[in-house]
Amino acid sequence: MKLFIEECKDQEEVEITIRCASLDERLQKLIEHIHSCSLTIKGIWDNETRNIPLEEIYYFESVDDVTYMYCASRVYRCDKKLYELEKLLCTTSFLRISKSVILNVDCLSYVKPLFDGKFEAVLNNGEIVVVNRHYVKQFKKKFNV
Amino acid sequence: MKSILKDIVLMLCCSYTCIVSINVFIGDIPISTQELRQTFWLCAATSIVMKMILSVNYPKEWMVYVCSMLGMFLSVFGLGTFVFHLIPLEVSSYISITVAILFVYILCCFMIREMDKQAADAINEKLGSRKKITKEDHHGKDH
Repeated sequence: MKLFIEECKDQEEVEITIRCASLDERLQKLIEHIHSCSLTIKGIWDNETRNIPLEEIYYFESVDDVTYMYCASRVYRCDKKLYELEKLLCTTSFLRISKSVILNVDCLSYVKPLFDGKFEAVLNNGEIVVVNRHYVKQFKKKFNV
Repeated sequence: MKSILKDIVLMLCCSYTCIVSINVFIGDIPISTQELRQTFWLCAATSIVMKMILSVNYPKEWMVYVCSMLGMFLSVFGLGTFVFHLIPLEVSSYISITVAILFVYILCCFMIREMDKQAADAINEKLGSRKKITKEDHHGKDH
């Protein structure tokens, strides 16, 4: 695979062109990854709407039918439901860890086993979320454990 | 709902087997069909109470053990004495039943936790190496 990077001062938006004989599985994964890099989620904070890049989001939580988006220091309201986000982000580093939380595993600092088959996940900002027993299998699978 | 029912059935089976075994092998008491039925319902009620106690997220781990011990004792003692009027009415019998069930239960939990610890170590190792790679990438870019 050859990789060419061209830096142009006048270029406003990044352009990626893939030239190939046929689309194989590896290439498909690469395309999905590129797609996820450019993906943003609309977040509302203080009546202001902002497009948040995925890497800035730590986790999504649904409380009383309202979805919140937790970033390093700010919490945004999200207009999407948790099941919609789960579907949208299934090819990214996001993973459902309980009935009400979708976690970005890239923001994970470490995990600790808890009583009753649950896991405690400590995030890079020190926040703690619990991986429920029902979702532990998928959680382990994400890390090939 | 499915996992809650699975947990309750599992707890019911374990506790029922445990109590009947204690009665047969240690207590040496012949059990009638009615007593067996009462024991079954007692175990079912205890399992539901235990599941309710364990559904709470406790801030400290020792609280789980204390709460489950108290919950199990109270449900075995309370239900056994006042609802089902079960065979042994002395407090010591209820304490021994509670301790026996709890011992089996905690042993199972520790075994599961030991397996989870290994999985957590593997995940932490992967997370560590992933961070190391990212740091090296940033370092490379800086140069």
